[in-house]
Amino acid sequence: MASVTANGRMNARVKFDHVGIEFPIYSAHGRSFKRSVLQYTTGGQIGLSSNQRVVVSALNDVSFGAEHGEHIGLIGHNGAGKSTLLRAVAGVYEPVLGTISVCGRVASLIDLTLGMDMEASGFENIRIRCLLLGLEPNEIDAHLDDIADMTELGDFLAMPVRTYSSGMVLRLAFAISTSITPDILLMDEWIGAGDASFVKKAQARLQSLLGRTGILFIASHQEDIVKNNCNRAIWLEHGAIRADGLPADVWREYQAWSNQAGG
Amino acid sequence: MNGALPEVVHFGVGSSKKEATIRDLVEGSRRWRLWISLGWLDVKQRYRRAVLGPFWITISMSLLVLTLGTVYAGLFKQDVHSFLPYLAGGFIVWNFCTATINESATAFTVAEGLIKQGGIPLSLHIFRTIFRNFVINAHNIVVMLLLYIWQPSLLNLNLLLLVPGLALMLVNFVWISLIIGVLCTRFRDLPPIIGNVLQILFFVTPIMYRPDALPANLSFIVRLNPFYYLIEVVRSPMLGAAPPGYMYAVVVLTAAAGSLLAFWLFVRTRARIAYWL
Repeated sequence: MASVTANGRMNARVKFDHVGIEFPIYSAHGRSFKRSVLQYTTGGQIGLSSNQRVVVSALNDVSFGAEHGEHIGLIGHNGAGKSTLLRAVAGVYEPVLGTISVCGRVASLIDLTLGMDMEASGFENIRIRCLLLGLEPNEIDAHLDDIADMTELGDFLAMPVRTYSSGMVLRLAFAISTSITPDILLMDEWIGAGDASFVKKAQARLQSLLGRTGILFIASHQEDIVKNNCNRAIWLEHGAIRADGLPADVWREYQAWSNQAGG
Repeated sequence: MNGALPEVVHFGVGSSKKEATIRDLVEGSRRWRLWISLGWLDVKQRYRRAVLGPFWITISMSLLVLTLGTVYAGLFKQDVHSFLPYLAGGFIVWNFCTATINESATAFTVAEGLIKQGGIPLSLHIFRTIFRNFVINAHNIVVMLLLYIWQPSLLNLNLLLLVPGLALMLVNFVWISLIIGVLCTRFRDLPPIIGNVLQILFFVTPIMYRPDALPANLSFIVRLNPFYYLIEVVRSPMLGAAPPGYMYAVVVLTAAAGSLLAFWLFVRTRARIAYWL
């Protein structure tokens, strides 16, 4: 199953070992420096109740391994922990319990327009986004024409992005984000861009990106996205793994459970 | 994304916090192109909002120095010719300090989106803040140029000492900004307190007065103030004087001790910053 990526690697790996992630919920008092100092000097007498930290458990004893070539669909209801799991792979949230091991360059397409500067020109934005995605300057130069071609924006690329329509902004973001060759790719829902004529081109480009990706994690609520693009699915519920296996099987279980819970 | 084999990164229990912190700092420095680009965009933003952009601070600085310099030279019975450049140099350097420290309070909070996307070392946001303030405050060179036209004698080879002086100041900014940035992300009521502390520091640092103007029994205020040395190694070369060697020693020691403290704090808090946002 393992295929070699464009840069000749086939060793991307992700391993979650009994991972637990908790978010502290601070009250206004808990965020206060004055409060903390007062508490310290008075031996914790003031604001006794405010010191009791409330935590929300986002991931709970999650264990799995992913090897090169696996395209994993994350399914589950809102708040099940899908986004938290994606961000944990990206290294944003480091677990309080258990260990995460990641081998390979991670690229995150969770927010396409992140870091875009509306006042800067299209070309400037291409540079910044490429740097954010971790590309080296020579790679950016190599990608520049390809990205410019893909956007079909022509002379507009020299203009500030604030003069673009929202569809044009999305095209630009899409073209930049799909120009990379990541070992591990993270997506929160399927990304699409623009008008009907662009959609076909965009989908072809996205498929080519997935083809050269080592491991894909995509969180999605759409059945066909998971079934058509993934060879494995993980169902999360309340921060824990409920099922892990072939997309069709896991989806059926998830569906059955949802109907039961709903009806 | 070069052809080298990717290394395995471990997060969580059992992974070394120290190693992860060193990796963050090394990666943050290695990706200087990114923080320079982001910093430049920040500067350009200020140009876009006003025709004069950051030159506003040059104009306000010139007016401040001119009015305060004339009034205080009279009050303290100082010679305007020597007092005005002293005041200008002090204000320019102090402005750089306060702007950098104040903005480092929000270095992480304003970058929330970038941090939650992942893949960017946290130290990079500190470097970006310092670089942005360096460029903006460099606009005050115009004020110094006007002074040099007025008094060419201020300009001599000692100006070259500005390079090591500024380098030492920037190194000190890294640890100060890191500590302030981390603490202000955790404690959201801290930024105004820092503003107050800086205001007090302004009065106990020789900017509007010369250190020898203080009576002997008060001179400890200046001698024990690390900001005095930090400012002196930058201000003196701008005014054509070489700072004494012990001042460099103090600044280097402050940088070393401060960096250790900042590293200790960063090792303990780095993994929590994303949770605090």
